[in-house]
Amino acid sequence: MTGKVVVIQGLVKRFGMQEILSGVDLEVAKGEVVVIVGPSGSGKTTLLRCINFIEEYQGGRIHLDGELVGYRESAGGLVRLPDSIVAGMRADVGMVFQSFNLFPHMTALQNVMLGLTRVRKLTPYEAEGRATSWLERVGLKDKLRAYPAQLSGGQQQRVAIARAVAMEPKVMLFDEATSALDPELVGEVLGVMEDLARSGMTMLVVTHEMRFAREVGHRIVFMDKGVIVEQGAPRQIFEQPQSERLKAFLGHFTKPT
Amino acid sequence: MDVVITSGPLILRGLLVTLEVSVAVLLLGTLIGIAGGLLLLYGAWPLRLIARVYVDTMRGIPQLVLIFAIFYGFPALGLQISAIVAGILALGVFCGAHVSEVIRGGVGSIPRGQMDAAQGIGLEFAQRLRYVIFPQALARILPAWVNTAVEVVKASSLVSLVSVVDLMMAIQQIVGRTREALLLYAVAALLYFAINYTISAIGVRLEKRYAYT
Repeated sequence: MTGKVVVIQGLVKRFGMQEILSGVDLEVAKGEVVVIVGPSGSGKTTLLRCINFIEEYQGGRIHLDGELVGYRESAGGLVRLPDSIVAGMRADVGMVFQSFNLFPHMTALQNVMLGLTRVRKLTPYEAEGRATSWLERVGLKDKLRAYPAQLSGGQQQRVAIARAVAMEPKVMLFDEATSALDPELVGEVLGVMEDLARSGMTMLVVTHEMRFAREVGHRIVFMDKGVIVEQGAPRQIFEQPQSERLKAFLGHFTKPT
Repeated sequence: MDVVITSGPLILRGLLVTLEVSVAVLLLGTLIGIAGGLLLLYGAWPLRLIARVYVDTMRGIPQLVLIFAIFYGFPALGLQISAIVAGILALGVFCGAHVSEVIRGGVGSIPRGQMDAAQGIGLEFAQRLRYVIFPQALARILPAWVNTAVEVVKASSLVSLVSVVDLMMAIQQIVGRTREALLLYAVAALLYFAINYTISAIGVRLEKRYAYT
């Protein structure tokens, strides 16, 4: 497992009787940008939520940097780890949500600082320095003291990215980070994501932005009905799709020019 | 009017006891309510069930029955208990059930994504509540909590029935001696109203302060 940041084997996730993920195998190497595409309801979001254990999983294994996520092995079964240990693991996984989920009672700066002071145990001075530099990097130098309600969707999502990445996670997960944005605001968020990808961040990106997938992704994973149907280099996936399901899915998008 | 002045010290002492009982009940009830509300929301199912049964049962029993049950019931079990402690306990348990629902409602109304995001940056459960959920829930909890506080002050007059000399009992004793019923009960009503008006006024100010949107 050397060089693999995320290793997922046979992942099964059920909500009650309904199976959302039916045996997913996926490895993500350090510095790799993996883009997951697929129709809604295919399990993409659930897959991401399992990786940082916001959702429990019922079968298979997820390893983050060699460590089993959320459970410990015990006589052939899995035993849930206590919340404090799970929390420590989550700190190493940055997550960006479709609906931003900024803390509305805190300024942009406080949003980014919270994890740094309470989880990373930085002093307020160090935390403010690191938070400020990340907010500057995502282009929000003049919005440090703004509350989420005073920011546009694109600005909020950039704060959310800064909040996640400032924790210096081993991998960043993007769950349809631009789907809730007005079209004219999508670009600024994708720009920040591309900048992160170029800087060598390991990323798992769920998106419907096919141009981003093609230009920034190292590998495209196509999911449908809880399994990975097909994966490969962007060119291969977009120009020579093998499965009928992928062909049908790509047919819904106008060809990126 | 002379009656009110000459009985002033007695009324004042009663008023203090009423305030004491009310504050103690609110403290106890709020502690129970935070625990109860969190159990209702996040408890494993057996605990959740216990909390649910507690809340629903307590809300369906008259406070006076609870007070008598504890005051007369505990000594029968060999537990000596003073009237004021029995009253505080009974009303505290009752208040706790109400506050449990208030907390459940307020905390439960915070969008799921807030908890997700708090988990996402690696906060532990208690930290997620303290830094992310509670500050937002406070604005939604306060109005209902203030209502409960007002109800508690009014219900505290029931402890007079187990011979605690609170404001109600003090007034009754003076009425017994002086027969100035109308005047003295008017004074009692005014004092209860003054306490509750103050609570409501403080509540409104706090609400404004903790409303961030």
